[in-house]
Amino acid sequence: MKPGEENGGEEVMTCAEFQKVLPYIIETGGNAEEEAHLSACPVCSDLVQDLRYIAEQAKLLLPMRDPSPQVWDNIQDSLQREGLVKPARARGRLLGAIGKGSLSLVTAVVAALLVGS
Amino acid sequence: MAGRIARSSTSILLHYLRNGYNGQLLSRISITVRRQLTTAKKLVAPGVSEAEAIDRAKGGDSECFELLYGLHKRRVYSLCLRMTGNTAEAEDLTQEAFLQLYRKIATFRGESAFSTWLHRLAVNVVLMHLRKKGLPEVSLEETLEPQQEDGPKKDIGARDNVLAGSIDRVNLERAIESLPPGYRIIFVLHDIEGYEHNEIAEMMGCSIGNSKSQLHKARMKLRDLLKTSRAEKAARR
Repeated sequence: MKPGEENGGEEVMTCAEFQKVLPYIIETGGNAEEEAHLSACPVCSDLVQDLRYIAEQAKLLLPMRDPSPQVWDNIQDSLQREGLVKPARARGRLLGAIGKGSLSLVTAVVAALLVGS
Repeated sequence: MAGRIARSSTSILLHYLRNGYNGQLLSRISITVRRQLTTAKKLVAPGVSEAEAIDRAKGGDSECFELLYGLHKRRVYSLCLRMTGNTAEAEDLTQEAFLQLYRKIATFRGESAFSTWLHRLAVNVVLMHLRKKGLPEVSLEETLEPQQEDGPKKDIGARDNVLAGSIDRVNLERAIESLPPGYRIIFVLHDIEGYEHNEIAEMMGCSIGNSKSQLHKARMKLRDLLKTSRAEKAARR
């Protein structure tokens, strides 16, 4: 809509005026005058629809892909160089923890068999 | 863990009560609570939940740290890649983010979900890197007053088909990659990663109004890029 254009005898908001306040309209919704422009102007209506569509589609984007294995190798190298990790000990602890779980499972199975018999 | 979830949820609910009804905030409450419950229960190895892996990694357990790396590497790398638009830089920054994670994991108190905390750490690593390169400050100022050929085109008077239904993930990713750095960073942080303008302003050292204005310009520029790409595709047919 051009400046000075009228709608039912009343001067309405122009596209330039509407688009100047568009960021706020998209975020918080428009006032009555802005809503009136939006429903009367197909160009601004398409624009608002597109901007909302882009924002919606962006929210649906998922993480793309994994980094190369080199990244983990470099992390390990750095941590070892800095003396921050002791791989063998850590590995033992985790395996120990998993082992404890397995031992509990075996004990439970044996107990169940004994009770059953 | 349950206590941590309750404390965190309470603080978000208090924020909600102070600020009145807000649909976006309510949905964030639900997402935060769901994420924290998931963190507490999710098994990352036989018999080891993510919460246990975090606790053990805090004690210097490198195998649990590796489990956490496996769990979060894709999202951290994608964040770095989207923010920088460069594979080599993204890999270096992913490496730096996880090295910092190893050094700082003992300071994780569980006030937010671990993934939220880690991604904030990764964002800070990327922003620090870009700041050293002088990118965000320059781009931020440049994009406040965009060059005629660089900024989004005004869309007054011309009508074209709307984008809805005509763009796919690949096109959108490509268009985001083509954005000028200043636009891209704010768009990735707000529209993809879900940060609020006040959080972005704090991280970027700019005003909330600046963040909002950059985001709008980024979306306008993306619209131009997507329409151009659609027109080129149609012309090739």
